Amino acid sequence: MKVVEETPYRFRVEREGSMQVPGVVFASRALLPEDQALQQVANVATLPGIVGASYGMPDLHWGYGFPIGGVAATDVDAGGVVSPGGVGFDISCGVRLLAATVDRDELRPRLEALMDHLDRGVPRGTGRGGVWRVQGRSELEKLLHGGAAYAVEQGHGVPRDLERCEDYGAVADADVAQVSARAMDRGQEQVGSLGSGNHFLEVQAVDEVYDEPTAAAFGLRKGQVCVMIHCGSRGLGHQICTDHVRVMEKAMPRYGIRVPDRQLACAPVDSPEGRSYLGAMAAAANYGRANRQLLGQAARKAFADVLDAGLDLVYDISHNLAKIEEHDGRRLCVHRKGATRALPPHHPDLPDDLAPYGQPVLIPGTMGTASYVLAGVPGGQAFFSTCHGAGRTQSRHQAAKSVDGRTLRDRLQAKGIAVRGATWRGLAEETPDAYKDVDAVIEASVGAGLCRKVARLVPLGVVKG
Amino acid sequence: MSEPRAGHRTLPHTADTRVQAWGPTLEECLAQAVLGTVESFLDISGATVTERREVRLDPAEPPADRLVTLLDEVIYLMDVTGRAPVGAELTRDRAGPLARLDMADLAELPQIGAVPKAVSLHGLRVEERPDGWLCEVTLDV
Repeated sequence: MKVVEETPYRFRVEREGSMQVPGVVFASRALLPEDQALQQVANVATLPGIVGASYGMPDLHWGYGFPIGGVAATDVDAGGVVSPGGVGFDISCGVRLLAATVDRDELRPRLEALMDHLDRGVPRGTGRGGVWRVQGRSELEKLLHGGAAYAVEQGHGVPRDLERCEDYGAVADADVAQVSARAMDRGQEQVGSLGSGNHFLEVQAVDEVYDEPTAAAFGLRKGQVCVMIHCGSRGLGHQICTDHVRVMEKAMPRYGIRVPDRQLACAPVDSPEGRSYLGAMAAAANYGRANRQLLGQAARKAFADVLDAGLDLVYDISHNLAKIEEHDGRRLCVHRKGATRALPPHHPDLPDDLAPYGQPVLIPGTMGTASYVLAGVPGGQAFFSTCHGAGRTQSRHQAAKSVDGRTLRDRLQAKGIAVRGATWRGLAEETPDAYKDVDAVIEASVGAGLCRKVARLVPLGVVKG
Repeated sequence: MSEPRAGHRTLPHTADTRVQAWGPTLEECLAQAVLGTVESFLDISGATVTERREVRLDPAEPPADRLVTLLDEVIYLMDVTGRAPVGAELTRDRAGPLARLDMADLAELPQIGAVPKAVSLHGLRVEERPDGWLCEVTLDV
């Protein structure tokens, strides 16, 4: 595999073998990932109908099928495919940011009490149970159609929330008939739960503002307390991906498709299998958005009870999704797996009040470091996409061996960060040392022309899944 | 000649969990993969079995797909019953291969790692070797 440096923030993986297009990785030399991830960029470039390039974002790392931090678009009208592996198991995994009516100085004396409330009020880890008990299949179906909009309709939030959600809280074209009974079973009792792994709810403070007018339009100011929620569509999304990968694997020979990795199983967008997946994926995306809406409500309750303070939604955006989008007059199926859409200013999909500034992009960092609010830029690359996080460098095993959960908790406490973990091991696996330097990832994202910086957030308290 | 031992362990993977299992027969290898999956995130040393579940496997499926079917079922059962297998045995009756899973309540088991939520087909291996069977599977966590 030949990798050529085109600019300090853009590397080209030369086209070879059955690659239809080259690979392009936006990263600094220091951030270029392990060979397995670059090989996955090359593998994605073999998908039928892929256009432009198989892209990698600055936080690119080794996934399965697609790399994490991969973006690929296929031409729908030229037999382009959709691949569930290009979205990932956790469909519509994403980030929600809420801004509090209090500043960090006002919070300080009540931080521990707030964290204890959140610890009790945010379901996470193994097992069943979420903050919303959805009534039977019929209500779950309504939620799969309506997403966060259905949750708000049922009293879980305020109408303004939806104006600050990507797609206004629900994607269209959810087809519940394409969601298996097993997926429905798994989703029935998990609405409003974090899950585990790298998912979290953090209390943060705005540490630095890079662009005052944009930050003000997003509802952010220096010193303000925020809540960031990172989670997805739980068991339901995972089951949908599992089910549809199996179906597509069986269907591929009929379409004459061969892929270099089983997890890249795919089918033409315009085929029964492709349409079925996209309908089910949309249902899972709505589940993910409702899930974050409910967790946002749990945070609002904690802030109201402990601080008599409110939380306004800044934005909610996914980083695992496929979307049918129009680019240069072509209808493309854009897969973003561990990558965030970053629409430029005045894009028609943006609400009026955000249009002058570009789409808000939310980048969760690691527990001990920082998270970022970014915005889309004119001429954005990779179909208007950017990074999604810091990107792992260490395995969970390595991370847990490098530090004990209690030691890590003490270290974070010493820095003024209150931690409420589900388990000590789970905490250790998410040590900041296991990730790339988020500041370097953001610098590369901005340097590559993918986005611009709006604000930097630092953690005050962490509820770990 | 001594029988090859059966066992399991986790292998390094950047973001997820990779389980390796082995055994003298395919059945034992797959049973070890079930235990490897569960022990990658739960301490089952003090587990109390609360029910037994049976999972029917399709004899027409290749061994790798049988492994995926079995682990998919384990993950499904964890989400919908709140229980995880702490013992696994694979046998064969007239209808074909059958897995018997001894289940314990998740709430009673200390969690020591990230919870598997799906089985990936990336880098999936199930192979027969001179001394028995070996499998490797990546789990999304």
